Amino acid sequence: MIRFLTLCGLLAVLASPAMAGGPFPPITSEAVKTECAECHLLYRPQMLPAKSWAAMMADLANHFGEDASLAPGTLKEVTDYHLAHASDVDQPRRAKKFLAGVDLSNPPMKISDTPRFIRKHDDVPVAAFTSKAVGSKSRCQKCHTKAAEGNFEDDFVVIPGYINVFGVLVKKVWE
Amino acid sequence: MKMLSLAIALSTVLSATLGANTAQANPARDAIVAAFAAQAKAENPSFAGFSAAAGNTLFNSTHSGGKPDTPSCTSCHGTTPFATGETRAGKVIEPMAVSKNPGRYTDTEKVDKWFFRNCRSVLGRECTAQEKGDYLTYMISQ
Repeated sequence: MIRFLTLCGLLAVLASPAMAGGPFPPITSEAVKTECAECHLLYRPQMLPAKSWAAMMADLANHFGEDASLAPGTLKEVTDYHLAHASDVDQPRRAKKFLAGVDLSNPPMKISDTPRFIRKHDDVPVAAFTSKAVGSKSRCQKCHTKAAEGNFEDDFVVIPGYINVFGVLVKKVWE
Repeated sequence: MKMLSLAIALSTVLSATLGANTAQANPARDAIVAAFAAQAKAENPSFAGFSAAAGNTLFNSTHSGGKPDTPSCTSCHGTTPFATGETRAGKVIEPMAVSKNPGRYTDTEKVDKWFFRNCRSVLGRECTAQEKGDYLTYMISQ
């Protein structure tokens, strides 16, 4: 009986969309949607732990080389939302994946420094990030064509200047 | 003859001014500029109005004292007020010129937020009311 229940549970997990990947849950804070997306892609709170977000929001005057200060009320809403949906707080499977391997005593301040990001991009040449069409690792949307909707699935990745031949990235030398 | 050329010059200036006003007038934007003018006057008793030329210089100059990645307005905004720009994270910034983007500078909160942030990023300090007014006057003239 226990074995049967385990099997049922396993099947349920396998059948759930979270297991198959799928997009991040929609962001429900208007302040987050507006303020964060004015300068960059709407990164997901589930991508970094609460400690990273707390440190970042406490120093928006020095935000990756720019002043991104917010008015106090807006700052509180944006901070609270990130803390409530951080990788070590939120429940969706996506959050857990971004938490795996993270040193919570010294968490990364950049999503591109998380173990998951590094592992998922280990086959992407550095030149693909620094190309004119992409520019830097902060520009997810340049390859992840549905990133703005929170969908980072491989199926929707197009790397400028490269084609994917049976899982191997080949530089378009003819372009 | 002198009288005639003076008249021509005067009418040119007048029509240019009137033309600019009819094309770009907006009560909300006018109020924002007027508020900066009042503030500039309070900061400096000899305040003599805003200058589009000074705004042009502010926009196009390379400044020191700010953050290294953003030495100029044009680091992110286009190279001209008519061009689109791009944030360092790759988001398109619509042109700054009012003729290109009539919705610009009509929301006080937005204007204040971006002057605060971007002056500190580019100049390493907040802008004076004179600078803000010069900048807006330049962008309104474009």
